[in-house]
Amino acid sequence: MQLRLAYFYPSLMNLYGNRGNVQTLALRCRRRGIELLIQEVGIGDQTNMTGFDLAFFGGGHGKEQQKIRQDIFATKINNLRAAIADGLVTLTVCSGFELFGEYYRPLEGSVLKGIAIFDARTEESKKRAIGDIIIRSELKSGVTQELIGFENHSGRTYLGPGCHPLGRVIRGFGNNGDDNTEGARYLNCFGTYLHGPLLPKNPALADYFLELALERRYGKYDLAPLDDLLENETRRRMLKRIKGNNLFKGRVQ
Amino acid sequence: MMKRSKLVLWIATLVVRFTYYLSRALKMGEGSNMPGKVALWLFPDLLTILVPRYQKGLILITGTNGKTTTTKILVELIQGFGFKVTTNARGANLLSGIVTSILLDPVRIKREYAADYGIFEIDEAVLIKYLNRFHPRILVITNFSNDQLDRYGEIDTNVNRIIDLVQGLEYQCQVVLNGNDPNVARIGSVLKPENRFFFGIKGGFVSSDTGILIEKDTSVEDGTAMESFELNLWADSIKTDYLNGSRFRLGTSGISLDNVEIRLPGMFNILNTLAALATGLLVGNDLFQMVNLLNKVTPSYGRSECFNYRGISVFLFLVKNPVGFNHIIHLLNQSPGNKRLLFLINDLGADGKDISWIWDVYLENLWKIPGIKETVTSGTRAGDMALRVKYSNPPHFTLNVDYSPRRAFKELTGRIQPGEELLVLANYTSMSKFRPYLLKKCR
Repeated sequence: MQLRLAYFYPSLMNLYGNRGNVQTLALRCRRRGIELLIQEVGIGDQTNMTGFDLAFFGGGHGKEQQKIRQDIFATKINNLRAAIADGLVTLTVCSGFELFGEYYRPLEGSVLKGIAIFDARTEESKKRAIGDIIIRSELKSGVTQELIGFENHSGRTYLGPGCHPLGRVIRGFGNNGDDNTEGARYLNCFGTYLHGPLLPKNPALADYFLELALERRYGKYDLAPLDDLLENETRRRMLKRIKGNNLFKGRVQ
Repeated sequence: MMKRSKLVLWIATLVVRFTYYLSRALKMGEGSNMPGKVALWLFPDLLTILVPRYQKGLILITGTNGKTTTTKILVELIQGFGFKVTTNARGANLLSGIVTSILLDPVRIKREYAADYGIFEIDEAVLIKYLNRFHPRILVITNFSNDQLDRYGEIDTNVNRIIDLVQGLEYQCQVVLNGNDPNVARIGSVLKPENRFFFGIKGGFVSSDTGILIEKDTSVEDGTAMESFELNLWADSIKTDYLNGSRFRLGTSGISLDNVEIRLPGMFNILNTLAALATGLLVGNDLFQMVNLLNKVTPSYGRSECFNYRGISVFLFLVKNPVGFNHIIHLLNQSPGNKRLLFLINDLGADGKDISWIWDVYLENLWKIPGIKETVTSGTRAGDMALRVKYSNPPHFTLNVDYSPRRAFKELTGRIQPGEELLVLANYTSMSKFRPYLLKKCR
């Protein structure tokens, strides 16, 4: 069995250890005998997305956003839109998440147009939301999962009715600090502010992405359980620590 | 000196020393910042009194990595010429730490000058805030890479702020710059040639695409299109000999010296040495004499230090950001024989709370080094580090997790076989807790 992952802008959107997400998907495939082919997609590449099962966008430096936005509109938007409408499993983190909204309005300068996959708008705030975060997410109906991460963003994202949040904030700040939402989901496209990176400490989410991708490609999935003792023990300690330490709902600097 | 400033100096000195001994007696910490904080709270203008008390001026050293070591080398090079120097040797590089260091040193209140030189390493963020209050004669910039994004923000913002600052300087200040680091060199491009001095390594050693030695220039797309400046002081023909140091040819306008030897290990310490030599040249020290002093300089606190614990060689390496960590991996490439690794990763205070940076380290390169028998992760983020190891596709060895560094160390040294070495890679607060413990155990 084989899956193909498009890794967008790996050198420009490389902050916060986000490549750990791709490494996690790769190892969890390899241990199950699934071959994960990773193709890097950079500035100027006009990649045909129809052959892909997964796509990943990480977080980048503020100033690189403009360049990425220009490139995505020039060379990628139609392919990407069609693939996502067709169920491409996509994960976008931090500035990747903001890019997938309708716009990002910085404190100074002009509004940056997003690709509007998510019915979401982001305003830059003077204060950054920084700290550990736990959200509760209902990935499949009836199955909830606590996701652990670290957030560090000045964007305040507000969702419209056209997409769902990824989860509800248990500890931390989330999309905007007001409405308890975190991240977004539209079809199989996910956005979140959680890095840390996200997937190593949330293996259930990584496996959920693989399930979605396998189901789309092969019509069924059969993910053998893996030895996740280390993941689970690390999660247990982090959950305890964050819930114990962080009495306040969010820390804003 | 005027009367009020003498009085302020006298009181501030008393306050700093009292707070220092008090905070140590009460075991409230090492007392490296608190005393200065109290003194600055009492006398917000204290810096304007302290700064002019160095007859030959102040030298500030900033950058992401190499500050402490560059400062140590420079201090020893300057002292070697018989000058009196005040410094912050213990790496307390915030404003309060610098003030503490100044006032714990002999103050010589009755004299106009406390020493010939004040040589201080300074945190990047603190430099940006206070550069103009220090009036440095020389500013040394070692390198810039991503470090604790939750505290400092992105490199680019910092580099731009420093560019604004040095452009607006209204006094004479020379800037010593790492010409191999595109982010640092960019600062040089706004300076007049007589105010800048570039040092660097010539040849193919400094690679930005592998991320081994420097961060790529964040201002250009592919990291290669940088303006290249002539290096004023350079090293080439480099031979590194693992922890024993390196040998290289040293060049500056019209002079080249073969087989310069340093005892500090790794490529990064060649850059630190060049930074110190460049600064020494600018204050008028003789190059040959400085080179002779170099082979006496030894590593500073927790930076490739060696300990002997019951016959076992234990090496300590401080790793606190991706580029620094990659430097150490590059150094360990030459590590011979069998070894066990102990990672100590905390997320407390000075470490920054976000440890996602461990995923930006090219840990995969570490596994190319033969002879690793076991890896243990410890510290408050032992689990995260273990996950990092697990997902980096390591070769077959035992991976253990123990959240207690002392227990991890005890059990690891119990399992270690004759002839094996123990390599401890620790980030900031882990190091400052573990090193005193190790020192005690080795006594």
